[in-house]
Amino acid sequence: MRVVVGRFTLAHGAAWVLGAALLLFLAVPIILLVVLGAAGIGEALRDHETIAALEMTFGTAAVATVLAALCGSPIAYALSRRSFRGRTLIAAVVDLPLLIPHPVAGIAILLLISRNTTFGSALLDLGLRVVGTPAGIVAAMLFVSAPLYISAAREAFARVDRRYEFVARTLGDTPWAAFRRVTLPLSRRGLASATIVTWARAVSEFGAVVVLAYNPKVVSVLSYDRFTTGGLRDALPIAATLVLVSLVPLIALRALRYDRSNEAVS
Amino acid sequence: MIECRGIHACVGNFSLRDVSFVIPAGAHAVLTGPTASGKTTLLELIAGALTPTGGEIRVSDVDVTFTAPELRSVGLVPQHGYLFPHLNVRQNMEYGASDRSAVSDVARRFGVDHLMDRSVASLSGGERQLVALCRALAPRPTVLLLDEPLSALDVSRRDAALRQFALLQSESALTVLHVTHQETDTAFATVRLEMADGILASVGVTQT
Repeated sequence: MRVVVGRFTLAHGAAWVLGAALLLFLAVPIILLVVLGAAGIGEALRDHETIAALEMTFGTAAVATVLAALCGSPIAYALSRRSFRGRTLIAAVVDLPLLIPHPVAGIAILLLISRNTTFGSALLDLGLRVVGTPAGIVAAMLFVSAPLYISAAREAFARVDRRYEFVARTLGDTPWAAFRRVTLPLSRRGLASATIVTWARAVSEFGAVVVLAYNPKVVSVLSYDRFTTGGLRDALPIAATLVLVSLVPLIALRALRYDRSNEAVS
Repeated sequence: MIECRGIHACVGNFSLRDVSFVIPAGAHAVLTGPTASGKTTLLELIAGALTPTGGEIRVSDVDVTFTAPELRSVGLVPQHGYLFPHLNVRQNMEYGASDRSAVSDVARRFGVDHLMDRSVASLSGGERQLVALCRALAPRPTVLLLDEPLSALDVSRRDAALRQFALLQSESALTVLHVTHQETDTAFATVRLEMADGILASVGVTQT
């Protein structure tokens, strides 16, 4: 039997309740964190260790994002445009980091770059120490965030009708010129969105970073460190700061998506 | 001059089979046929978007079967124009042109010189088609491929555009291959080609 109240069915009611419960579960802890931690944010921002952690977080996340964009854009473009042998395998490799727990990702990177490995010792010979340095943080952030960049950039390129590129080729452009003059400008909002998501993911990374570089501390590691040594009261201001910082890319993303709703690419 | 010798091509489930014809330099050929008969595929093969599985394509007596599109001197006006939406009309028309006077010249000929500073989004369907035509003509290609380029124009503007083509062709050796469903577009045609289900059903010379 279907219970109907006006146009509102019991199924509608259940859907609303379930959806509202999940929304509350997502929002309330974060709101509590910000409200309860807000009083200490000012003090946290005068703390040298917090400032150093914020600088380290933003700097390493920026480097990881630039690397993801530089190295990931060709992969994203190839996956969106080309059919080639091994395409499925490459797509699977790109998605793999999304499926494994992040501390495991950290251990996997450690296996590659620790001083006991050929690659790790070669890096040391070149004077590049990775474990326990900002380079290690960048490596961890890159590993977990690059797949997001590639996925979003692939979608951005796929949204641009390939006939635009072909028309550019008939007008004298080489493949690179057509990419630079047509595809890139037409996918710029999607690529900007991909960059923001990548940076935000890198900033919030903890599991892989903590394995590769507990020190120097990024904000997520610092808040965990304060939690284990001083409890919730010490961790709250830093955690609240991190949440507020995370709102910046969220707002930027919303602005880009609003802008894109008026964009006709294909 | 455009010459196709025994062209075969596959696009998904569709195949083009043993297509052969010659369009002399300076000719205006019209290509007709039902929807999905292979007209656009044939244009894309000549322009270089697709590579045939067999046969040879020659443009101005040069084998271009495997030549990159930018090296063929073949202009293309695709069915929906594909004006670059991030550029204005002038920037679109100057995109492939090395000589800006050529841009002004074709814009004046096709009556779009007053649109130069407009955004592409503000153009009507017919204006878009004329701008796409001018963009393809501005680099002065030796071959121009047109895929229903005048479908959104009213009769008088279509006639005017066709007269401009005839004039351009009398001034240069521009070879035109023009896909159309409009019988009126065949008025200036010197060669008629008809496609049917992936093969060239007929070739005829209508004027000399």
